[in-house]
Amino acid sequence: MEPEDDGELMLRYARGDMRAFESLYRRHRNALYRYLVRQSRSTETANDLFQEVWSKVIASRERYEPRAQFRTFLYRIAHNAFIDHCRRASVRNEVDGGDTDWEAMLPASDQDRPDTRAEQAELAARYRAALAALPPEQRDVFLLYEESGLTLDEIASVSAVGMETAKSRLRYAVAKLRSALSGATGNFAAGSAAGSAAGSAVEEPGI
Amino acid sequence: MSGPGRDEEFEAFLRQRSVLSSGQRVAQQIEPPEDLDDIVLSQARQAIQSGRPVRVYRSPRWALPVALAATLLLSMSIVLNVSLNAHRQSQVLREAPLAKADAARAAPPARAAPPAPPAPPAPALEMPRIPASTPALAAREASREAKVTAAPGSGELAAGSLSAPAAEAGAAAREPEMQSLNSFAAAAGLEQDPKAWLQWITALRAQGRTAAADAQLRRLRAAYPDFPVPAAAAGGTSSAPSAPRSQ
Repeated sequence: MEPEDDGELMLRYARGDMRAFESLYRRHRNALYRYLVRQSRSTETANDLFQEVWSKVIASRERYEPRAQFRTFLYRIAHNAFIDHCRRASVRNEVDGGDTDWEAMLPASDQDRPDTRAEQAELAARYRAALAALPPEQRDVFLLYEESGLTLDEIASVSAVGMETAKSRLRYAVAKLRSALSGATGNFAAGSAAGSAAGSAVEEPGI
Repeated sequence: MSGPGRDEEFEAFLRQRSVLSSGQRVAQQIEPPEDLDDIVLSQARQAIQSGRPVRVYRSPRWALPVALAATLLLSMSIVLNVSLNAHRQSQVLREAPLAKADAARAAPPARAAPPAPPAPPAPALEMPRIPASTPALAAREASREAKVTAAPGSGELAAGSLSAPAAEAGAAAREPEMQSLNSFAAAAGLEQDPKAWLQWITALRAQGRTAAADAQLRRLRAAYPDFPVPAAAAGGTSSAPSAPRSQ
């Protein structure tokens, strides 16, 4: 059975179908939450923003028109909510320097052996540090791409930039992250060997 | 930041959507806490429960008749107000010549002081003009006068053709007006200038105030028996200026 389209679920929810909303929520809750946690690097802030985003989705159910993908609609709200949060609390500094150890809050898998857990912890720390070191615009595009499943076109639309700009930001973000992770365990995704020499001197002009 | 290695690396990322391996990604799964799920879901549930189609406001049954009655009342009061204003205006216009005459009556003592008053200017400037501005009133007055006039073409009062009480009543009704006209003629210096006096009499006749014109004509003839009276002033009885009477 083909899964129902997000837009159709939203329309059904607007007509009063609670099950449609539950399906929609289940489909997007994890990715959205990860996006917010990694953006804010604070579970507390992410919880607030997560609730705020869904509140806005709920409130806009009457006006919702499935012109674009629901995913784009959802992450545009999330993106704007995070920017508003930064503006409201002047937390850009807080975000840059806050760096809550959110991975440490995750439950460890029972099947993980102690040595594996140590490796993963080290990797997670390096990953977190590299992500934090990214310029906010690059981090935003990277997290949108990694977590939301949006295409580059859609990310450009959400971030209100051109597609080439979004792609360029993503390319620089990926290069910096690979560079930071290259010396961790060597156990990276395909292409990590090629990226091992990724220069730390790489800077994105104009960003 | 270019080169085949970098491009491959980037393409790999675009496919996998992660810089980490799948195993590492699983290890980094993050989920929202359950209580947050409960909050969001209950909020969504409440929204659709409270967001049932809002009842459209319906006006009560009595609203339409009350609105109609209010509209009628308002329009009637406007019409009444407009007609009352029009009536008041016509009343003011009717009373205007009497007020002027009263003012003229008050003037003679001051005018009587100089021994030889100069000839008055054109009397038309000071004449009561109300009949010209209200032709309807003039017509009404003319018809009223016609009732008490004995011979329609003579211009003279024919008291004998009326019953005595009616004639007396008509005369009594006209008495104040005649007095005010006499006062006006004296104040305006018309009695010293028979030519101007005759012009005024002609104007009175033209306005349809035949009785007043006749009365003034009688006074003029009494004061200036030899002055020729044109037909227009005499009321059509004498077609040419009357010949000076031989005393």
